[in-house]
Amino acid sequence: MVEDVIEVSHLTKRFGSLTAVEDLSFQVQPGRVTGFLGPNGAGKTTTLRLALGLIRPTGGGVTFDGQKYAAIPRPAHHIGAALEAASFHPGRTALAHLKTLAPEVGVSDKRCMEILELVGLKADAKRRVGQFSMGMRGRLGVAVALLGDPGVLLLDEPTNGLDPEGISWIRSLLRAMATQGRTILISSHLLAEVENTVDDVIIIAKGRLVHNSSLADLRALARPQTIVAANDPPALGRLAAGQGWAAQPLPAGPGRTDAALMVTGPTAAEIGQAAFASGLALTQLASQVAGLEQIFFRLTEGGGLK
Amino acid sequence: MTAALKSEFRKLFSTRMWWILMICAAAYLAFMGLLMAFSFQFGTQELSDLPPEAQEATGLPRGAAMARMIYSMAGSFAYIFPLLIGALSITQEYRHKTITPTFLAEPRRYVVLGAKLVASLPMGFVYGLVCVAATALPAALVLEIMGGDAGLGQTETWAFFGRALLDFTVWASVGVGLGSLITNQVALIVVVLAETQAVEPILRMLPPMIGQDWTWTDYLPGAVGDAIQGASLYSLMGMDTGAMPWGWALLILLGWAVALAGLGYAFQFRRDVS
Ligand SMILES: Nc1ncnc2c1ncn2[C@@H]1O[C@H](COP(=O)(O)OP(=O)(O)O)[C@@H](O)[C@H]1O
Ligand SMILES: [Mg+2]
Repeated sequence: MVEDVIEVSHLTKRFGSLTAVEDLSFQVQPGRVTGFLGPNGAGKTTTLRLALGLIRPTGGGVTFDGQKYAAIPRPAHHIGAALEAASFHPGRTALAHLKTLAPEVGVSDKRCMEILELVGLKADAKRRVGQFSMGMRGRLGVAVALLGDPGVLLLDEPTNGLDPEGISWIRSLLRAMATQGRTILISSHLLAEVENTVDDVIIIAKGRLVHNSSLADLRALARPQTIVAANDPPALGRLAAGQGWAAQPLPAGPGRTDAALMVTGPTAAEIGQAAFASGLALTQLASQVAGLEQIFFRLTEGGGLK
Repeated sequence: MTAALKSEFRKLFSTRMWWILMICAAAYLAFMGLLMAFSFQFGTQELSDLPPEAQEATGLPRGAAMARMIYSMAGSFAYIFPLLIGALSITQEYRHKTITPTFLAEPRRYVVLGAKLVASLPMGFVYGLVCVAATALPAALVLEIMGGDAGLGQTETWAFFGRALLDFTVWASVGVGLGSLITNQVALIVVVLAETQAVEPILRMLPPMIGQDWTWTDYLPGAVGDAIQGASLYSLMGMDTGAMPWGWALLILLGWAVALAGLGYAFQFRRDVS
């Protein structure tokens, strides 16, 4: 198998006055599943369409193993893609759809049936796509992408419309393909949807790169958050200010009668030490697990880490 | 190119549209063939009581020539069907977004367009076979039953059928050319209907009305199509199409297909697909 690196360099795309992608550069490595993340409208689909030569960049470009998509002979044999908008003629059967593409992809008709079996649509092969559910269309889209047994796989929001079973199916499929050394890029607007699938994360917002690392490194960015309450709230406020903690007041809530602070930065142990040193009795000290989604939100909200 | 051609054939034949359109065309033509054969044969018989000079003066063709004029309805009225099937081979791809997987499988868009042009030719030929047969069979039957001349014994009639088939064949590729220029299906259908039903018929009526006998309107696709057949109902209305040799007409219609495809490729087909 060819070890294909996807290289996006200084990619820019403007639609009239709207800049959908701006000076975007990153690499996608083989043998790993890379999540391409960003809120709706961040420019993910546009980036993938640029990579596949469907739209022309305003600047920069994308290469696969050094070559532009359009310059690769029989490209679908090396690079499989399923783009967000499921694109099927409703009057064509699933099998017929694959067969219309098979000659150009460079595979046999037998392969079309095999791939339908692989994505779990064997029984529906002769049904018209117009009768398919969202999830079935998603699977057919993946079938199209896999038709040429490609070394590079680009999937745009593959989990959209899939049921939990479908999501776990796609997870194990991608994992297995990455283990074979293939290069896999999947986009999503929800980090939670792919956090069990991806090894690396590339996060964009408003068309710009805001983060590019392994998932583990992204997790490390989580800053500890702790809920702190004391029987002397003004003293607690003075302590937080004196220590320079980022603190936000929390209203009294269930299981908490005193007003409390949400402190971001120091660990619970550091807070406890400081309170003890200043003679303050704490009535609550609870560390919160900072979720990936919260980091994702922080990264994409402001267009960068604060 | 062979792979692209194979893909395009499969696209054409894997939805129901090709035969639904074909049945519409055949039913329409069979009905018109019956109607015209009956009316013309009936009319000629009525006229047969008149003195020969008076019959001449009506300008109506007689015998086998009349039969051929009736058969020419296939090309004159139904060329819109191969035109549409060719054009829809592109607009349907844009409408259902299958143009995305199409361009992913073959990013060289000129190859895709070329394959569509070539694949449309046999499709147009099949449309021709069905449309000509649907017009001629019932009409010939009526003519024979009513004691007229269906002209099937004349080589001239069979040569006419051959030219009509070529006419249909090339019209499908004109459709592909037009589709590459107007990829939006609704816009395309509006343009096709307006051009074939209003714009061109009106333009072609102008020269005889103002007393000209040769103008650029002879080069309009519909006029060229009639010239390929060499017999047309339009000629009854004074729009004579006999002037242009059919071989030239065939080349000019092919020229329309290539010119439209060239314009489509230059201005529309290479655009962003999103
Ligand atoms: N063909 C187009 N014409 C104009 N604007 C577009 C077009 N395609 C995408 N956009 C705009 O570009 C931005 C990025 O869109 P997109 O790449 O689809 O985002 P994502 O896939 O991350 O949700 C959006 O603001 C979108 O409206
Ligand atoms: Mg998108």
